[in-house]
Amino acid sequence: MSIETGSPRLATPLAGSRATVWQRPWAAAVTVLLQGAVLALILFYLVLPTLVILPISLGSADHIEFPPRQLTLHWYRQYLSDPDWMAATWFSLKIALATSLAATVIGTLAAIALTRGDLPGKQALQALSLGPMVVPHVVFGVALYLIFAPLRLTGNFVGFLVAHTVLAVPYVLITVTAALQRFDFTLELAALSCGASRTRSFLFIVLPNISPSVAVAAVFAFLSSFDEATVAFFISDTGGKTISRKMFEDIDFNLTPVIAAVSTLLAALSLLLMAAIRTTTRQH
Amino acid sequence: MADVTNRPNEQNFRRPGGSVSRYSPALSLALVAPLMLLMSVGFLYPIGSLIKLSLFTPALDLTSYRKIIEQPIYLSVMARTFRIALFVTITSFMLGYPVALAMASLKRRLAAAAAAAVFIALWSPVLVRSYAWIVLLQRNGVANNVMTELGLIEAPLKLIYNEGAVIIAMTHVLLPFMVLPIFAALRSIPQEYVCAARSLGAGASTAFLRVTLPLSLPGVFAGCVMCFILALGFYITPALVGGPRTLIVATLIGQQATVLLDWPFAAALSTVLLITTLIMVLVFRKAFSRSKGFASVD
Amino acid sequence: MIGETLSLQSLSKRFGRTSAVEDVSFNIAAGEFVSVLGPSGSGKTTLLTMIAGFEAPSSGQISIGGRDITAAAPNRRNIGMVFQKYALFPHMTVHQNVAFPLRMRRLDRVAIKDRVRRILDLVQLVGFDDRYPNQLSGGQQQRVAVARALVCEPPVLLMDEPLGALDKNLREAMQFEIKRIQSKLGATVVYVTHDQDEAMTLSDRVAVMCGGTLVQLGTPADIYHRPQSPFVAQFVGKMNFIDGECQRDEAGTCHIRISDRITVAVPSPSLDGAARLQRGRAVKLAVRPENLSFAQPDSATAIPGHIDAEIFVGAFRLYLVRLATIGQPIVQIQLPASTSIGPLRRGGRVDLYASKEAFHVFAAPEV
Repeated sequence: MSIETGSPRLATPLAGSRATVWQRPWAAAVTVLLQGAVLALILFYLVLPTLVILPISLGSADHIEFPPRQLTLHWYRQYLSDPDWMAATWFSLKIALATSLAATVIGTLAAIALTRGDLPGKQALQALSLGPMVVPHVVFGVALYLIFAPLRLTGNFVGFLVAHTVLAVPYVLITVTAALQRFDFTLELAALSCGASRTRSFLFIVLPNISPSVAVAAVFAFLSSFDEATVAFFISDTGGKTISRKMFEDIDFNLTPVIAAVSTLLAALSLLLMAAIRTTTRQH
Repeated sequence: MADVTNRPNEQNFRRPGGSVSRYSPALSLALVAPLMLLMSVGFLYPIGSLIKLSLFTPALDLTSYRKIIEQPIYLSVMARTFRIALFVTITSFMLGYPVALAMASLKRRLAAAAAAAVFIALWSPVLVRSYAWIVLLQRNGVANNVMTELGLIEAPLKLIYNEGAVIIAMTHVLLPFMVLPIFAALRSIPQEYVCAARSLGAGASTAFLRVTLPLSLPGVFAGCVMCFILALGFYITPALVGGPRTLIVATLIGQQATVLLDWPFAAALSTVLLITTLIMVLVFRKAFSRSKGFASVD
Repeated sequence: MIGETLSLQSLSKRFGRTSAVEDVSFNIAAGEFVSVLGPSGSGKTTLLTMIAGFEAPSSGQISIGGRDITAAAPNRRNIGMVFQKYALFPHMTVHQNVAFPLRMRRLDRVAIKDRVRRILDLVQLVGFDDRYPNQLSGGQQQRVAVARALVCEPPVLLMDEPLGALDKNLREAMQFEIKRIQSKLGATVVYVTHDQDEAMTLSDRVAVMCGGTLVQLGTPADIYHRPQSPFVAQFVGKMNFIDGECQRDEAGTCHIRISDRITVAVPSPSLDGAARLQRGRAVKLAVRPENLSFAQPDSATAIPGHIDAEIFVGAFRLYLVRLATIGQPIVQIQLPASTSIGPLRRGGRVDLYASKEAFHVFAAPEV
């Protein structure tokens, strides 16, 4: 990897310096090469774990083999035919979809009130609702287990829905609040002066303008639930476990390449959804 | 002309002497009610119960807290937690700053490559990445395989279930949280500042050290605090990549709660972790609001 | 119906302790174009938002066509409004934007189509129906905003600095455009601006606001030639102020002493109904730059000074003259560009003259 000199946005050592090039060309070249090599190594470190699971999941041996000698979809087939994995997958999907819906509705309504409402104690509520991002998930997971176990809510859809909605709401709040703050409020006044009622000006003017962000928030909420592992570890049980809890168990007891196949699918789902969000929001 | 009488349903939005630009308290309250219900039932109540459990059994009882302070093994867990968090933060900063700088300053395609790497790391599920580190580092894992085949080593090395592995894997998970705030800070520095420094006679590295770096410090600060806070409470990665000798507070809580079933002790440990985290967040917020005047370059 | 009367009666708005608008009353005739002129913070925008219904007045009454609308919701006032940055709905086409008020009034599709076509024709935007606001120039967006505000033929049209975002040439063109549309439709317009030229060009009457109160209401000529306060005098057009002291105020003439040797005779302000000025009362003598000259007319008093600078401004020449009396300010004199005052250069001594009628006298506030 080489670093081009020229007119970068910022003058930085990474970008080299013409003056130095003039004085000691070889020194500058070495510096630039070294910097490039260091950067390339760091970037390699960043992508390595995600990239290594794909070849493992395609290997034919029943232990970890790298590089794989023969490519096969065997482990994917095994994942799809295993009732335990399928049960966990459906359970996770159901929870994630419901969480996405609940968190998006609750978070969007609250974001509207928090940005535009006349509400006493607004800042306290705002701080509180961002709390789940700050509180360590292990603490939250243990606390939920403590409450859920006597109520038989462990391994239960409703229990997961509550837990994951609490975790997902901050993402929705942040995303939708930002959109509402960007939204030009005079548009709503304009709608009122055009004779639209408050409700209709919200439906026809505000909502269409913030809906891309609401959709993004829904995807965030879905992924935050689907990929959530710590709280799921504590509030799952034999009756109901998420795909991440199932993975966690299998990694500890039974490290087969099926996990690599599941991992690849999980990573692909997250990355594709996020990439889709990035390309669509950039077009707007 | 339309009816100009004030209909009752419009009252929701207007108060006598008030402005139409804000929703009335009643409507606002109705809008936040679901959130308040969710937060009280699903967040405040469980956390509150956990704290209560750590203090009362059912009378006030501080044995669990005393246990943390008096038994050297738990103090050493505390110390290890802080050490690892500090280490991970420092490593993340050292690896993260160059990446943020590359994203902010290099030409489009190279910057995009750096951004893509950060993106992939950030959005791959944590569990998947922890699993990948096991695959990479375990006894018959990828790293040992590759090194053996290349003839670098004769017998497989023990690369996993130690503090080094925990730090490598945790740094990987937290690196994006370091890169993004630094990148945001760097990008908000107007190009003219650097140009001005260069036109006043500063070399490229002087301009960087005297202009770019100081102006990016709020981002560095935000990234470091974020990494440190997240590292303190991290569970998944240390639980999978670490071993019995790398117990940190989070994994100790998990162990006490699920294996040893010592709930009051798990609750006390959780409370300590929670309070530590909250203090850090508050200190961070205070420091950040103070440095805002200085950082307002965007 | 388009073009109805608007009446404001002792309208006030307080935010906490500060008073944004205080006791403003005036009536606007049907089809009249009234500008509300004032510096920022003078309460002119608050006044407009109260008429539009976005803010409820703390006290007072607003009526349109004789009907009290003070308590009506903004969407029930049937008022057209053009916003500062147009506030066009970005996710709607030109046609959808203009049709929006009609849709809200549940007109049928044929009627909507017909009325949108007619109003777009009036603002000369035929053929732009399917464009989105971000595909239009500033001037075109401005026309869409006007069309949207007028499509329902509102009894009153409010405009909040609608030309503020345009550059100077376009702004002047749009001023005539707005005037043309307004007089063609006979709309009643309240036009808020801080630009005095705009207010003078467009309006039948100008309401000058300062510090939340209405300081003067009159035709543009009235405001310009007969300012009732130093604020209006200097806010509309340019004005020189010279400190002086009243010596005599009798028989319609006031004698103002501006230095030991110089006394100027000016029309007495007491003719306008004000009380006579007391002898020795400190006053401000005001005179516009274009009413001063270096040439001596009959019976005028000379005010001596030194030329500080000569500035060529295209249509005219501006001279800055330092008055000979210590403590007096530098005054501006505006002469036609073709004037040549020959050897007079920087530092040169000159005498200033103005006709008696060109002076205004304002009593300085009593300490």
